[in-house]
Amino acid sequence: MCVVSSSNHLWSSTLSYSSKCRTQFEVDQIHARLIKTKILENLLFATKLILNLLSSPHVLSIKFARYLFFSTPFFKSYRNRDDPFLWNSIIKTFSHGSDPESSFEVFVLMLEGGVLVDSYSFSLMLKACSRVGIVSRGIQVHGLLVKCDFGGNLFVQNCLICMYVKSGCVELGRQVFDMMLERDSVSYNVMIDGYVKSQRVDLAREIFEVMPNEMRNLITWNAMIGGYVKVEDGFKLAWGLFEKMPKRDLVTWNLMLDCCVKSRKIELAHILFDRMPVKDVVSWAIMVDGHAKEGNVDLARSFFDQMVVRDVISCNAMMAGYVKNGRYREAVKVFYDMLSGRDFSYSPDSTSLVIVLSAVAQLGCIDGGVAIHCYIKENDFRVGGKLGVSLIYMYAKCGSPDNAMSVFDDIKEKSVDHWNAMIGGLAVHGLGCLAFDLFMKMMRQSIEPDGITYISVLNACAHSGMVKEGLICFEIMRRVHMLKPKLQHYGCMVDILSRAGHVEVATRFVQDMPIEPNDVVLRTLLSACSNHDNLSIGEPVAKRLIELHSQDPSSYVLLSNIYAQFGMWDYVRRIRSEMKDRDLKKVPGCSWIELDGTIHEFFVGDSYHREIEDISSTLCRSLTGNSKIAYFHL
Amino acid sequence: MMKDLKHAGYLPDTSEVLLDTGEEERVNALSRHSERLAIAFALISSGPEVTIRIVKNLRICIDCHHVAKLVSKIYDRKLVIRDQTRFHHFKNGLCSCKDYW
Repeated sequence: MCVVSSSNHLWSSTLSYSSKCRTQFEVDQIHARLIKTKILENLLFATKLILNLLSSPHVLSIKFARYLFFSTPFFKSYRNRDDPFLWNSIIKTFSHGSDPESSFEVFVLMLEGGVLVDSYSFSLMLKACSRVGIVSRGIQVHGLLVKCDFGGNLFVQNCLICMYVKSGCVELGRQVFDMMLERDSVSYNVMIDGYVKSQRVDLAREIFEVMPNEMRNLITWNAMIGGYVKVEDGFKLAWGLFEKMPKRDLVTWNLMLDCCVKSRKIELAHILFDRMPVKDVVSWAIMVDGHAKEGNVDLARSFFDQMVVRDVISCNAMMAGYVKNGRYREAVKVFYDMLSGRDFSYSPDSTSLVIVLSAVAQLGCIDGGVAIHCYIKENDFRVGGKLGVSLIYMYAKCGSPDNAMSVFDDIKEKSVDHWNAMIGGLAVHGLGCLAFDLFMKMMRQSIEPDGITYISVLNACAHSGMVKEGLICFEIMRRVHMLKPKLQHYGCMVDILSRAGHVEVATRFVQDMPIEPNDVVLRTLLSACSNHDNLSIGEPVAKRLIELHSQDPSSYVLLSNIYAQFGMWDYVRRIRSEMKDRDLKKVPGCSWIELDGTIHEFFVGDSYHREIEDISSTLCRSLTGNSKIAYFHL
Repeated sequence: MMKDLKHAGYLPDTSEVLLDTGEEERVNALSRHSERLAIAFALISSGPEVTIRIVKNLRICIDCHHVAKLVSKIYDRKLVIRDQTRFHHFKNGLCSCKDYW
């Protein structure tokens, strides 16, 4: 960089260079030049320079601009001017940037300096209020703008409605709306959108109906259709608008497609999809997601394969579809395809990681889980929030409570979900005492437990035979935290008592429950009767279950087992024959094991007669397919 | 594998085999349980330091639980079996569930 004596050239070169600064070193170079040449003393140049820096996309340039504005002699001479333009530009970097809170400090300085505020200043402050979400600040700004006589300004009023709506106070926004003497499309659209987001589609429709037709634009129609998409039975109303609207765009078609899919009108969705003049990635993702949620995973996959351009959202939809339908291996394969770039290469986001971790957890593949954890660390993903919960859950489900605890300890801001996942993880490993201690620690840290916390703790007590502790927790839940026990909590209590062999006590508990017991609770009791040979209680419970859920084979099997324990073989044959008549089959036992990245699955086969004495020959025979042992490779 | 277990004093527990058949058939039925096949496969397919990890879709029966304990003792291996509701960590002939599942 050369220093040229001509001031014009000095100005233009400095301005030109300032807009390209990316590193602190380059910023320091400019700073040094300003000090040496004293060109900042010229207000016109200083203003141009600051504006140049503020318009840069680089954070360092913006920070330098703020520094120049506030901490140099420029600031003292500038603050007496009546033109708020530069102040507004500074405020905008905060209100629209990563630190909207600081806008208030700058605004206060502006007011203290007696600088005249304009409608744009207020719009920026209202934007900052809506981003911060503290409505009391917004009300203060509202009060000030009324005092400054901006209360009747259309632009400012629209910003006010937007602020109230985004801060969750849609009724206050409505008050502003009702008082407006003049409204434009923005006023109506913001109000409609506000009602839709507060789940008051009926009120949004009222506003839509009173809106003059010439003011309605695509945003209006799309906002209304979008509102009906989220409402149960909103399909007809959405379709009515879709047919009536004078023009449609891609957003409209996508919304209507989504509505069809959510209302399970899959055939209509197909027709719409074929009719769409233009499709984008969102359209395809809606079809993939819709079919997967309906259980048609293979059809979802065919749509996914047809996509010319994919993005991370469509990949996530495909993975989530596989997980929802129990096809965990395929979900993991989609994730690895995303990484390998063989068919498509997109960087997974944190949602992708949450989904694939849930798949890995169900499979119980610790090696896969560890590999994904390494990927998370290498790519600096923040392990908190949902990702943290998924990691804890994965390690617990894959048999490694130590790793789960290590992830839990490393999370700085733990939410109740993290505590729940960890307590639940310790529960399934039979570490009831540790789970209970963690629960106590949670309470000492004044973290409010929720219903799921108590399910996890009660589960821990059930698996460890901690009956007294279970009863204590149940009382703490009701009396201290005032949580109304739900069916799952009662189920856990029945489980605690049943596993410990207190079948009669468990039966009385079921009879005294204020909620009608469901099949899960009854089956827990029945299972206990089967394990502890209790025919007098088990038989009526089983018969009640069979009446309620005649297609579930487990109740028949449990009853048959109880009869078998007592040697009542005629009854056993009768039950088995009833199962056969109803075409009910007992779920076959299946075990799988992961070795060197491959999952091997073993079923029990009726035709398998050899004992496992000679392991090698047993496995060789299995590989020729003579018995019902199957291998599934990832 | 079964020979080694029998030498260590293993006797099949057929109390959970609820078939109206003779004892030999009940023992046969036990030998076909899927987790047993998986354990056998893991023993021949993995090295001595590798923890055997198995996932099962139903509750592990008493006899398979006993077999897993013996395998962990005789072959000096750690086994981790996840059944329908919980985990069982087998080491040196003992299970983390303390036989309460």
